[in-house]
Amino acid sequence: MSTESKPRASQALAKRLQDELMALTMNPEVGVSAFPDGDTLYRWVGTIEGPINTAYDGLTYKLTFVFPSDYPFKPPTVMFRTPCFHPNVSKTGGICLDILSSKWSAMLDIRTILISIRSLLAGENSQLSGGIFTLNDEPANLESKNTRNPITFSNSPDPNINSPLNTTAATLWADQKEFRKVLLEEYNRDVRKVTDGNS
Amino acid sequence: MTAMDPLGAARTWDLSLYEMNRTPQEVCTDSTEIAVSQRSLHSELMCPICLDILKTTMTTKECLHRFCQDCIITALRSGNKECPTCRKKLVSKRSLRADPNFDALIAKIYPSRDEYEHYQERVLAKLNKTCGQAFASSIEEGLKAQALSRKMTNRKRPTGERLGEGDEPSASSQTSQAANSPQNQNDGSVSDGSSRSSTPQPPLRKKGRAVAPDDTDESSTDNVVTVNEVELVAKPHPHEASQDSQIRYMKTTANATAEHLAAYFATRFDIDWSERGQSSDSEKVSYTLYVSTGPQSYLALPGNITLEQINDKYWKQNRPLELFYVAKRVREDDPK
Ligand SMILES: [Zn+2]
Ligand SMILES: [Zn+2]
Repeated sequence: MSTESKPRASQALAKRLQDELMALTMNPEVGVSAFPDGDTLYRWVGTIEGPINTAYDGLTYKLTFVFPSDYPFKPPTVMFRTPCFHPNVSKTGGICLDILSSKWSAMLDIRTILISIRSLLAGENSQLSGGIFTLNDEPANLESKNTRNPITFSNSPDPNINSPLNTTAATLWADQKEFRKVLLEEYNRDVRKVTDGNS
Repeated sequence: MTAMDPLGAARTWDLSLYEMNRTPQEVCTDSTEIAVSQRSLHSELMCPICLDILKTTMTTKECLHRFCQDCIITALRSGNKECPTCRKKLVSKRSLRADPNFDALIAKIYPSRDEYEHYQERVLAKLNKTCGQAFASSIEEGLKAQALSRKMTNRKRPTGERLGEGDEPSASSQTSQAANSPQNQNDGSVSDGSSRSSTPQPPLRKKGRAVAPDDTDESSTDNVVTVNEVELVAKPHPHEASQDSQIRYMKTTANATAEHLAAYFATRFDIDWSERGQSSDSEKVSYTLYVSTGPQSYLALPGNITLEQINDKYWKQNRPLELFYVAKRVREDDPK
C-alpha cells in the first residue's frame, strides 16, 4: 500500500485503534481482553481465558497483535505468546485461522479476532464428557452487546485435524480427557519456564 | 483452516433478532417527539471500518450496508471483493451507490460534528504532548465518551432526538431505515456500559489469573500472567483541600508513572474548566499523588514510580489500585 506514509492514513489507523481500545475498556467481553503493549498503539497484548467446560478451562493465554500500517484493510499479525497446545497453533505461536488471512474483512477487529480464537480453543469436539457445551450460552450475550457485527456464533470452528500445525495435539484431540491431561502438563511446564525466566 | 465465519457465513444471511422482530414505524404527522438513545443512534450512523460517523456515505446496492466512501473503496482495493459487513460479493465500485440522503440526515443530527472533531483533536494533541501515545490513548477512553455526552447535555439535546417531526428534511422520513431502527431499539434500558455511556465505568476486577483446576500446585500458575495493565481509582486526599474532588476510574498501562497520571489529571482538569469557560491561562492546577500506607497515613509518590511498582510495593491486593490526589493551583506567570 502506498498510503502508509500519508499522515492522514496513520491518523485514521490511530483513531480506529483508540476506538477499539475504548470499546473494549468500556464494554468488556467475556473471557477476552486486550491492551496496547507499552508505549505504542501498534502492538497489543491480548488475553484469552480458556472457555469453561472445555479442555482449556482455567488456563489463560497471552497473544501479541502487531498492526500493519494499512489496518484494518489488512489483518494484524496475531501470535500466541503463551505457548498453546492446540492442533492449529504452531510451536512458535502461529495460528491457522482463515479470518486472519484469506477471510479477513475490514470490519473484523481485535474483539472479534479474540472471540474467534477463543472459540477455536473450544472447538465443538473439545467439550469434556458430560459437560454441556457452554459456549452456546454466550452468543446471545454477544449479539445483544455487540451491535456492530451481525455475527452468528452458532457454530464454533472445528479444529482442522487433517492439516494441523501441531500433530501431537491433533492426534490427541479425539480423546478430550487425555488431551486435557497432556495440555495441562504442557501448560504447567511452559508457564513455569516463562515464570522462571522472568524472575 | 476454515473457521467459523464471524461475519455469518457467505451463503446464508441471517437476520438478527432485531431484524426479525422489527415492525414498520408509523409516520409521525403531528409534533410527537421520540427520544432516541445516543448509543443506538450512533451505531446506526457509524462506519464499521473507521468506527467514525459516516463521511460521504456509500451504500452497497444489494445488501444495503453503509460505509464511508474512502473506507469502502480502500477496502475493496486492498482485500476481498466482498461487503465487509456480510461478505456479499461486490464486483466493483458499481456495486455501490452514493447516499446523499443519508449524509443529509447525519448533517442534521450532528450539526456540530466539525466542532466536536476539533475538540477531540485538541484533547488528544494535548495529551500526546505530555504522555506517551498508548498511555494517552488509554486514558482518553473515558474522556472521549464523557466529552461527547457532556457536549450533548450542555446543548440540551440538540441531536436527533426529534426524528420524525414534521419539519424534518425529507431525508429523515425517506431514509426510514435509519430513522426507524433507533426508535425501535429505544426501550429506555439500553445503558449496558455502552461505549458512549456518560458515567465512568467502575473498574473491573483484574482478570487473567491462571489457575488450572486440576493442578494442585496453584502457586506455580498463580503469577504466570504478568498483566501489564492496571486498574485504578483516584480519590481526593481526605485530609487536604483540593481544587478537584472527583473520583476517577481508569485502566492504563502498568508502566505509566505517577508523573504521567498527574499530567493527565491536570490536562483533564484544564479541559473541563475551559469547557465551562472558566479557564485562565495564568493559572494551572498541579496534582500530587499519594498512596495510603496504613490507616490515616499517606505517602506522596515520586514522579518516576510506575503503577506496577506502586502496586507491588504498597498495594499488594488483587483489586483496583487506590490512589489519592491533591490538586493545587499554581501560578504560571504573573496574574493580571
Ligand atoms: Zn469509514
Ligand atoms: Zn453487506
